[in-house]
Amino acid sequence: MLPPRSPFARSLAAAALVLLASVASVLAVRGARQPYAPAAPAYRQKGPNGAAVTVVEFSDFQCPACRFGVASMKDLLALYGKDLRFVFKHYPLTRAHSLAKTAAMAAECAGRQGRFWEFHDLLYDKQAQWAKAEGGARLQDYARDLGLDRAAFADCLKDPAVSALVERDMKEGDEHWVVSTPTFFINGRRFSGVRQLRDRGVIWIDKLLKKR
Amino acid sequence: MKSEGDGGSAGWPALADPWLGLAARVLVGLVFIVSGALKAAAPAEEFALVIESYDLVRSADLILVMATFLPWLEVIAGFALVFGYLARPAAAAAGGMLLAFVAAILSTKFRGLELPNCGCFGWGFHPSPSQALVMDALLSAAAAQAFRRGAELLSLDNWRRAGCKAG
Repeated sequence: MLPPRSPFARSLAAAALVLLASVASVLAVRGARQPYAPAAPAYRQKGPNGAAVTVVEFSDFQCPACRFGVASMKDLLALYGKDLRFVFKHYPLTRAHSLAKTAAMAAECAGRQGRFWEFHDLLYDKQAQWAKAEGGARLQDYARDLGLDRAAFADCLKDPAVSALVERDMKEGDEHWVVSTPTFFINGRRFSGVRQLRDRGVIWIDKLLKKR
Repeated sequence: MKSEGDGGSAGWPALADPWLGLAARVLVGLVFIVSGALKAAAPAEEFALVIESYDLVRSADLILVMATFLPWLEVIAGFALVFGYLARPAAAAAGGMLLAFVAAILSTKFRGLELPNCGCFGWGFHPSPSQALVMDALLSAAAAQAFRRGAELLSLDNWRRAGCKAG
């Protein structure tokens, strides 16, 4: 095919090239974009690795709104079964909640002893109790109640690696513009708060599963 | 007639100027393509959250419109620069956007707003606001050079003009 010779035809061809390249580049990036499924210790995940839908929750144990998310997530896991993978991420709002990071570390330490989810549930159930206690002394009591090795638990709380693990989640949350808790990402789409998760998240999951 | 020595000392910068214009044009263009495509490929609500966090625009509708179209504008301006199509207007548009980004970041600093990162590359890269400020200032200078001499070499504008002459 001969290249266009008239100025008008050349202008049109040049404009078309710019627009085509723009659309192609965005579509290429969209196609290459993987669903957001971040790394996390195995004890902080539920559901199979190859699940069609991954829900990532950034949460703060001292945040009252996050407490209401626990039942919603359990409902989703029961409803979608093997199609759903759930990844829990720490995002303690340290400015507002003085014990949130300590609680996150305590949950990590329970996780090291294989009891992350039990500790997670206990922290939310008894949030009103421990969030008021000075220095998080109650956290040790919960470790005892769950039958954890208390010496190992106490040592773990002092381990800088545990603190670093929580901080890594916080950094990841910052990188994804988590500005409130709980924030959920369902295959990369953001749902802020439990109401959005219940109202729109379920519709989004159904849409994702239909697309398979 | 100039002597060889005179021509040599004044000639090299003059010879390099259009090449620097081309380099500036391609550099600014590529950065705009990457930053725009990463944002345009994600749901518009993601970039809307970033715009909202700068607290400069209050209307939620306007924020969503900006979040939808601004990344596309960046990509189109980027390809226009790389291909040298309407290179001077594209360089002016890119320079204008860069100065607006600089002003937006500076305003957050003056108001004491702490942003987790600049939000300028979507989920791709996460430069801090200070890093983005330096980058945008340097790119503004590059956009100015692209505006001055960017269309002279390897550009669709030249091809279009050749068409004009041929026509």
